[in-house]
Amino acid sequence: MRAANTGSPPAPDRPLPRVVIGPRAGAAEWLEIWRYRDLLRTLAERDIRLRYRQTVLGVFWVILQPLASSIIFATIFGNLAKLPSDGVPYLPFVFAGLLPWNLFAGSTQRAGNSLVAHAGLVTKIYFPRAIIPLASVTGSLLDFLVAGMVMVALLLLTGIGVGWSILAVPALVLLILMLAVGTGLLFSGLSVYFRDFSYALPFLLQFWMYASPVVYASSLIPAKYHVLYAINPMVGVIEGFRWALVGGPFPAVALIESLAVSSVILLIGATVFKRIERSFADVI
Amino acid sequence: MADLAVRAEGLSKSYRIDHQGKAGARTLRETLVSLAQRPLQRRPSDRSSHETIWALKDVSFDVNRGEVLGIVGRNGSGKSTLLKILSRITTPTSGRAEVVGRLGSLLEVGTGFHPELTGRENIFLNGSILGMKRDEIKARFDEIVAFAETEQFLDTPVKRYSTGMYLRLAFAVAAHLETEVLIVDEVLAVGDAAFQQKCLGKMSDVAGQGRTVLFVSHNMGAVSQLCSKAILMEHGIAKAYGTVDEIIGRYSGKATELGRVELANRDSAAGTGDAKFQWADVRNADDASQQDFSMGETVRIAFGLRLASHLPKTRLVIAIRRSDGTPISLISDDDSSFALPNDHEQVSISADLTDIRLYPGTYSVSLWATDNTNTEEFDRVDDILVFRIVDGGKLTMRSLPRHAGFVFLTPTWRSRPILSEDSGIRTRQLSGRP
Repeated sequence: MRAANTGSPPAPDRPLPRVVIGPRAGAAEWLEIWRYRDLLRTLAERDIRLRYRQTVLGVFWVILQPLASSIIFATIFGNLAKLPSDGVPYLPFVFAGLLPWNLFAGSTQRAGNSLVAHAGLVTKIYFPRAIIPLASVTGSLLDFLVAGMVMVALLLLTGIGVGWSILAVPALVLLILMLAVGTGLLFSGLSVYFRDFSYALPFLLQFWMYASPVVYASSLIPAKYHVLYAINPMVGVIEGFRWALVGGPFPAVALIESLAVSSVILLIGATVFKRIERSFADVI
Repeated sequence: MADLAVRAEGLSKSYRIDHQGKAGARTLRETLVSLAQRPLQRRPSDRSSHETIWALKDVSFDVNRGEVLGIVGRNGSGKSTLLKILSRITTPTSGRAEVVGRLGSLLEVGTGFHPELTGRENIFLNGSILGMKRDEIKARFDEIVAFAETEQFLDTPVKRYSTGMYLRLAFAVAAHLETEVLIVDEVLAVGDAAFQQKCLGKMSDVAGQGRTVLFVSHNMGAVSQLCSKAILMEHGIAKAYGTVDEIIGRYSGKATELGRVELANRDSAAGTGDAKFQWADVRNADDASQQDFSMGETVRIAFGLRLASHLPKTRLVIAIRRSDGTPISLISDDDSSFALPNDHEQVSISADLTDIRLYPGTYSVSLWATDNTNTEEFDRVDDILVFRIVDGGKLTMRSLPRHAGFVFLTPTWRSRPILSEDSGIRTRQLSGRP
């Protein structure tokens, strides 16, 4: 059988890649993520496909979740607690805050648990490990797109309308993704070693939400503390969303702070991840 | 001369085992406690509660392009660790390795398969996990589906598949991975016999395409069918490197030494002991111990037997097996005119396999002595002798392919010209068909 097939090896028409394996990480491994972009896409697609498979309502859940929580928040904080919403009707106001917040919290949460959930892949196959949390973040974008359409509908229905400033949303989304990838890399990597981090993340996100102007307007915070307050990178992002969607002042300072802090978190997340990545398969 | 595909130089891997029995994740509290204690300890690594286990120690070898290397060894011998390092899943503690060309590794079939996804979706998912590009998968999609024989279930979630279908689909994707270097671990240990054979055939094709394969399996038949060379792993060390027959022989723990084997003083577990083998040897026609034979020579199996007095007729059986365990021949003295004399207590017996026609390879010999009706076993020694058939000799000039067959037959060839007026041979007319 074998003898019949033994031909000469196919001559390589280009130099073959040469990989050196050693105790230390080689350079240029972040670039490998680009070579594995097909895997990133497939994993993100799988995440999306699986999320609502075998549900009757399917993608309707994507609409229902932010809408229901907006209505609850609007009732509790807007009507009962009468938190300020800077003159905007409370429902679109809180929805404009929940939209970026849910993208951040959802993708961070999914990314944070992603490595442990994919232990089977990590121990059986090589690929840049960062692909897994990155795919989780990418997969969360669909929910955001659907919720974004609900937002637009809400703006039209309440008579606020859609202005040119909506075009700034993609830039703000990039900022959220930077932050989510940084946080997600950090938590997913650390929870491989310590499962404590998977348990801590939901708490952290809950605190983080109330430290961000999701259900209230940041005008609630005294102006002299505003620079301090905006160290929370989500402050600039959420204020930016409010400005782009329902109107309000442009949060220039908060956005610069947000960009700076997000960059630092991304850098820390990526560095820590890179350092511990190589022993994932041994400890997961 | 030959191109290098994989080179390992002193690869070692150690694991730290806590004596609480946890190898991996520590809790945060433990780490914080140990961090707090660390300033007080001069050498934290000296703590007696840890132990270093070497899963792999100083393993070096080269594999040339187009070579199929078998890696054999018992469980825990370091085979999987070696493959994981070469596939870059884990890193070595020291040493280095070099891989030339794209590397694909199949340490498990169906890695990443998701039960909720359909067959079609899983093909794409599994393919990209294994490192294939989407376009590559698209191009080979039909081939994969045809190999897996699951066309009509493509849009069914795989959780509704039977185990067989699931495994066929998983292997089909893996089998179409087109990398220059392929690492395969135990994937053939799945599925029914027919599908295993199909997988093995596919692996043979892969090997025949001049790609480099590192193959780990406990199935010695598969290893010997696919590989030309092999490494024997033992306790994390590459114990031996050589031709696949040699290595499999060593792995199977069979006798490999030349010369007479003393059997008189062994602890006999088998048989009633009414007849007992005293020694055994493989010899040539001149009655000298020999292990390597060419085809056409005489292989003499000689052994000493001690018989209890007044034992009725004893039957002698010689079983010959190939190194992978395939039975080759079961020889019984019943089938000859030979009759064992029963008037002496000690006898020396020999059986000449004249004009041996077995294919090149390593063969083991087992001896049995039973009563006439085969109901009572007097004595039995398994795989006690080893002989090799090597290339060359008076019958063949060429090297014979290892697994093209078992027995070398030399028929008498004849030819006869067919003249045009010779109408004796006609093709038979098919009837009953239009």
